[in-house]
Amino acid sequence: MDVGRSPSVVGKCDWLRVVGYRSTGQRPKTNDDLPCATLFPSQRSPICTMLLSKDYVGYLAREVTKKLIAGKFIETKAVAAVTEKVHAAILEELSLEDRINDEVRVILEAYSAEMQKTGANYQEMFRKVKNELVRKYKAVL
Amino acid sequence: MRVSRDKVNKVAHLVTDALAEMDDLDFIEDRNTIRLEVRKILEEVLNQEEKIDQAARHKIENQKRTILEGSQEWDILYRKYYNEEVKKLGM
Repeated sequence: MDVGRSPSVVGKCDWLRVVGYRSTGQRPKTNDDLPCATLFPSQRSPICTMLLSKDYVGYLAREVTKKLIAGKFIETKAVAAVTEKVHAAILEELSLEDRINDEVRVILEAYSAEMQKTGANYQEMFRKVKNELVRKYKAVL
Repeated sequence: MRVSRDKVNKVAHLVTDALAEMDDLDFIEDRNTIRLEVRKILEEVLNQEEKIDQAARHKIENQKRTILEGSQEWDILYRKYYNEEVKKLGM
């Protein structure tokens, strides 16, 4: 059982894991730390998780702000503050899955002894608890 | 790879809500038009990201030996090549 193991260095630093799909039709990755990869079956192409740099999220926020102003959708003199607000909103939502995964690990850690005793499958439990949390928070992954 | 459409919609909603909360900002267009524009911009920029992602994956696939996706080595190489691609685009 790998309850105490860090899910990935990726989710803990400057990268986010985001559920998405590949347009190339490649098979999904089979990282054991990412049971979420099988949660959301799609008709279009295999579901997988993508890594998104937090730097890229910053770029995303700058582009959204710049283009809204240039396209005369919004007007502001506080461009930096608007960019910061947009950045926070995007980051909050895109890091939601990381936070849910962390919460699942904490929950499962509390039951690790019991799970070991009963021989429960960690991945299966992870998936079930994660599904519960996704429902509880009405999260879109 | 692409972020799901539902997720992009959700982010566009949240961004629009966040903008609406700001005092030093005026909406010139109505809120729904702004939300749709935010969604369009997000999709455009994320499409660029998809190209960066594919270039980074291609570089890993072209290594002499096979590196399994999901391994720590794969993650490290992915970040390295991804950042190289980002720099190339001057982001």
